[in-house]
Amino acid sequence: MKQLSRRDFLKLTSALAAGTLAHGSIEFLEAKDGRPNIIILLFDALSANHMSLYGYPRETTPHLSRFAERATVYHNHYAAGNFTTPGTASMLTGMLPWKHRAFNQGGLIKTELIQNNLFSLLGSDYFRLAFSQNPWPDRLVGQFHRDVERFLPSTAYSLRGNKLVSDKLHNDRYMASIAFEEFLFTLNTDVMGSSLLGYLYKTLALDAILKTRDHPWYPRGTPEVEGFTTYINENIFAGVLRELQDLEERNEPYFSYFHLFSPHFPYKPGRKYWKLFMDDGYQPASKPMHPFGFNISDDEVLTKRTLYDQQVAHVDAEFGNLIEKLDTEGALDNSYVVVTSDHGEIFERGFYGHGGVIMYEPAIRIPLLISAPGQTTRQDEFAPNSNIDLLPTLLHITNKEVPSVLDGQLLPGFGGDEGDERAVFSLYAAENSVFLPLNKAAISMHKGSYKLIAYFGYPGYDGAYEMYNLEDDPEEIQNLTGDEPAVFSRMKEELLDSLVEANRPYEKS
Amino acid sequence: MKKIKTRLPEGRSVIGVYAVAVFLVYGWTLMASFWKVPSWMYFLKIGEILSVYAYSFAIDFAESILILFVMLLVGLLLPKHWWNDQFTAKSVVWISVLLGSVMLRLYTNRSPEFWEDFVYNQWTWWGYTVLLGIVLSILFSHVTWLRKGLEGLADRLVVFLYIYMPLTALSIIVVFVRNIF
Repeated sequence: MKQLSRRDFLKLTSALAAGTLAHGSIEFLEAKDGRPNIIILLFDALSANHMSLYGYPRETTPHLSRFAERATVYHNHYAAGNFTTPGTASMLTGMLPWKHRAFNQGGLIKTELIQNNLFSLLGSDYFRLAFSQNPWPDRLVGQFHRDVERFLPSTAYSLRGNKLVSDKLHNDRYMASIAFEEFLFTLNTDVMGSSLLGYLYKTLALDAILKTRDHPWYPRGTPEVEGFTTYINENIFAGVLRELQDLEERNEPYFSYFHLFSPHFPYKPGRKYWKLFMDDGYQPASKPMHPFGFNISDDEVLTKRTLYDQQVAHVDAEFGNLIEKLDTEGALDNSYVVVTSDHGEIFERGFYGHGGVIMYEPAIRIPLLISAPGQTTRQDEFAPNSNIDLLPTLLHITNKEVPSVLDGQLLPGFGGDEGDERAVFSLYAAENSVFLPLNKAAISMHKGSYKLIAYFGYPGYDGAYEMYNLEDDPEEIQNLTGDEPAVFSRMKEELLDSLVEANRPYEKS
Repeated sequence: MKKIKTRLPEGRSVIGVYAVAVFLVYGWTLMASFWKVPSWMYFLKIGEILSVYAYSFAIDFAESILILFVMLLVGLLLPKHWWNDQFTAKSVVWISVLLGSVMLRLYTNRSPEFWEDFVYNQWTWWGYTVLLGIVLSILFSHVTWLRKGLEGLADRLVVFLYIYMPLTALSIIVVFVRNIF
């Protein structure tokens, strides 16, 4: 009998997987030492509300829409935080920010919990790669660097390299990152901790950044990571492709986590996209100014929105190219591809960007698409879920044990519950100490079609609530706290109960 | 080697000058850290904050040694009566002027709107700095009570070495341990 070649085997199993998908449930594929590869492509600050895939009127994501035809698409997927640190830490640990405690700017996961992360739990039978252009997730992954076989520096494939921390101090990457990148040699507006060497570093680094600020492909200037590093998306995506090609060469299953900075601010799309959507007549719903917004006029906010949408379109096109190449090379035959974000981006109520005391949908609703090996049909899931669910789901897919300490649960379509009785939380608590109970925070809770936003500890807004029915009012304009007191009371009670429970370990006895 | 040794200033002067460098370099780091400590206390444990200080003191040590080395090198290269005859005063003046200039520029050019100015106007800035250094250097070498004052200051700042040097030694050990294990 003729022996099956590896490729034939993969094709056969892919076909079988496609067959199972047609029946509505996804059975994972086993190959390459019995395990499928996992590729996470995370686009920083990509809001589901700005993706045509999810119904945004501007055609921002045609390539992701095409990819969705072979994926499970989650329509109500929420980041557990509204900026990078809590959003990413939650995805990587499967825990809510009030448990893992990484909810400050550049914060860290609680030491006692760091072993419960995606890399460690997948285990060493996976070859694990991590690359985050954003220094904050880089720091988070640095907390469990021993469980990452290939850990690229955050400046990899960028126009300016800085490998001191990643290469020379890799054993203490997260603390060295705080010491060097955030204090001694910081390029942000804080006072630099090092005087003489800091001055020399600042001169050389800024010179490199300024020299690469203009690029012929980018009419609005070269994209930057928080002003520290310039990069061009074409190089970054080429780097991702190269890394994946290298991983494919390995004779072992792999897990790769690519945390890509675009479409994060500053919005600097490439030449092909920089005039998209301008004067297209699109007028988003007008909403009242929010007390924690910047009080920016609607016109200015619309201008920023358009820049962001252009950037999203550019990233989408790069993603399309990447997937096409991977597909052609057969690299997806045995891989789960996860496309997601760490938080959203919002342009309304006199505010733009993310973070801050703003918990409306565009700030926390993020994309989630999971394409199983060989999947050929689209599956849509509408029940609210959270990015803390990704870790348990991936562990389930790879036949790994799900630790009970995780808050997340299996996603619908992968064995999870599709009911709407689950409360899904998102949190902003950057001004709260991680060592104290949460008493200064904004928390949102989704349950079914309802959403409650609670504000704690903000003068003049302490104990304020907003409640919306997203089915009837997706723009979150009609506050229902007075109109539906029974629902409001029930939602409020559940949120407060959860908060009390989360605060319990930090209350003084 | 012997020739070099004879051209080096006496140990007491060297230590005094080093103390001034240490006082300024470490002092700047401590001052800058006061801006950061409140935010660190939000999410870092005491041990982690001390680790940041360990890295900082290790870098400060390298900086202070570099500064001292430059002062000694200048003394070796220049005629004795230009520099080494008044090693303490000259070195203290130049260390203060150069580091003061560095610190002032770092402090006033933090915002990205000043980045271009920071990078591309170095010559003008350092031209004025060197000019100020020459003027002060001449002034302090000719006015005896000023020179004595500087030498006295350097002598008194040596006390900081008794604080910073053990902390630096400990810091270097901490940095090594954190990066080995």
